[in-house]
Amino acid sequence: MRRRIILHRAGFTLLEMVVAVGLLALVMSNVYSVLGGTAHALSKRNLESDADNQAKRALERIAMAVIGAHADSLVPSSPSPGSVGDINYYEFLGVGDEDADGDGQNDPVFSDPMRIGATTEASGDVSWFQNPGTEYETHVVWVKDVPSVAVGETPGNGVDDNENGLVDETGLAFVKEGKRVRIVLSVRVSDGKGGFLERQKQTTVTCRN
Amino acid sequence: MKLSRYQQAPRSRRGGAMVAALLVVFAVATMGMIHVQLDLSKAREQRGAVDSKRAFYMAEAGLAEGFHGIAMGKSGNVGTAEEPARFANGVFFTTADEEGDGRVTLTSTGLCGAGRATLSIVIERTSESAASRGFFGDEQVTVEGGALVDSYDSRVGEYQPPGGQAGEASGGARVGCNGSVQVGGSSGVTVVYGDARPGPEGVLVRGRNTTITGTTAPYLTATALPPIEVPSYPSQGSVVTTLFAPLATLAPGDRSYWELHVGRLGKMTILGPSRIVVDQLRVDKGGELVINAADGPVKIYVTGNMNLAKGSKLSTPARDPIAVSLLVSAEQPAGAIPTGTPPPIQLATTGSFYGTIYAPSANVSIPGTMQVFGAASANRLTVQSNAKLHFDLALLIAGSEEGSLPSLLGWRLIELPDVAIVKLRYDALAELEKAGVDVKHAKNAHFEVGELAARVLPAKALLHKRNP
Repeated sequence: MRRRIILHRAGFTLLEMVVAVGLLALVMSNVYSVLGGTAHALSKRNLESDADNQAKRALERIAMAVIGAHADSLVPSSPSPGSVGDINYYEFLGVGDEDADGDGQNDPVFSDPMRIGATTEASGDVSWFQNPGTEYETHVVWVKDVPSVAVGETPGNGVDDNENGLVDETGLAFVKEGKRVRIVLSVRVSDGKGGFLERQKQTTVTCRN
Repeated sequence: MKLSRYQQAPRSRRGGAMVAALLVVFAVATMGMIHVQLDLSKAREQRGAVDSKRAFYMAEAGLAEGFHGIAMGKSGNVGTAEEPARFANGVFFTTADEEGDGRVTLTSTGLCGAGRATLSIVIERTSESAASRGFFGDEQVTVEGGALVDSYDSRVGEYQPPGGQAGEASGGARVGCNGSVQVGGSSGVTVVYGDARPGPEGVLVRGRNTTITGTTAPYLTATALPPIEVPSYPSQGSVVTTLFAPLATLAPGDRSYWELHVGRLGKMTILGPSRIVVDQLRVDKGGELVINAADGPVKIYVTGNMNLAKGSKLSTPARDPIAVSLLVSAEQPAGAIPTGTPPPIQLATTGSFYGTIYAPSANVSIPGTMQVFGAASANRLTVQSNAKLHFDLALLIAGSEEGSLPSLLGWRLIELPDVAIVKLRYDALAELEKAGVDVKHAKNAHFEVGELAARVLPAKALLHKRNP
């Protein structure tokens, strides 16, 4: 008798099923929401981090080049708030074996002319050039996704829109004040969904030469 | 036997919820792990960037330390690749290479955490001290036939003749003039182991059998010989030695005399540290003037005449050219000197003089009986036949007491050196401390000139083990 009663209770009632499915749907939606949110946050954070690192690395690379440049070779000179989008320079390589000026001491040796600036006007890349403008010109792209106009700046209005002390500056901007050079770099990275992530980094370095 | 409701449930339903829960937990944990890994990787990347930046500034600190060392008269070497110097939470080592012409290349490698950077600068010693010019004349310099001019470095050791153990240093002599330079005569072999440079408008005249190993290019600009600023001290009258009182000793201190006169067979000793202002300095034949700078520098300012007669003796037992200075402020009379009027400086003495002679307005003629270890500057400088002049390279940096610093010619970033400690991908400071190496602080890790070359550096087992 007792055994029969147990057999009759082996299935689920409709109510039990409804409650179970409801709870499962609730749990699954929460899990999906948490996982989706996490994935989205992770993706966004990675994108931000990548953009930050990209800007930071490029800025450090440019800064190191400017630090090693001969201050007098840095042209053109632009006191703030004017800025330029590229910079030409020479690097000190050492003291050579020749005494061309006849002062009894061997002369310092400098590199071929170099330049840091936009690869082309429309490329959105910044390159390091050796022998720019000559048949021996070579270049290496140092950073991509550099906008033609700095982040937060409206071109051609003569106003410092992004309040960084520079007016209508380009995505890569140099300001030379004596031996010091201020470098401002903007990057604009696509998030793959039609949006963009923008970052601006800046540093000021002193030419050692 | 009575069974509970749970024990009676079908086997297929047992633990079903647990499996589902575990799956969810596993998925969330996996996501969490990925998140943590990504974060760690970013953190490592950022720490690496920070270490690189710190290593760069560590290397800059090494350059500054080497620069400071050179300004202080040391070699510029700070620490070594085997025993680097500690600076904050990293280490660096700086090497100094002499390039000639007073130029030095400093190369510094900084290590902090996993970061490494190597920087190099070329500096030029710009000491404007008169002594740094070597043997210099304002109007003319004449090195007569048979004379020898070479150099040595008193910081490294005693003078060695050219070709000796310290022969490398012998080629740094400096003979220069704002006017013309004449080297050699019709007789004898004249050798200048170093430069002989006339002034911008002057010429170099070479005699027969003359060798000049360095440059003979004229200076681009003339170098003015600044006048002597004679200090003022209370006068102590005169000190004269006689046959009855042949010995006299001037104790250390600053004082002024009308006359210091060492008579025949007399001996006068001036002890340092002292600054003596004297109008007349005379040493007669058979007399001896001893300038003892063993306990401190001696500066003798002669405002009138200095006459070290033939047969007299001048000695400087401390053998330190930096410590002894003879400064004669008297002016050479224009035109021929009238009979009976002594010239401001008469040098006919015998002996080895370790020091500097500076007479910007008077003529100096160094006799063949005298050896000068140091430097001499005068209005007209004549080095007589058979005289031997040995320029002390230590005087190149002796101007530091006047506040002059080396000037920077160039800075550059260079490749890391191929040494064991640089190849370590660990924190070098921590590894050295683990290995029991006593890492000296930067200020205590300087090397004197010549000290590093003479030292046999121990190879650290730690470094070779890590990088066979």
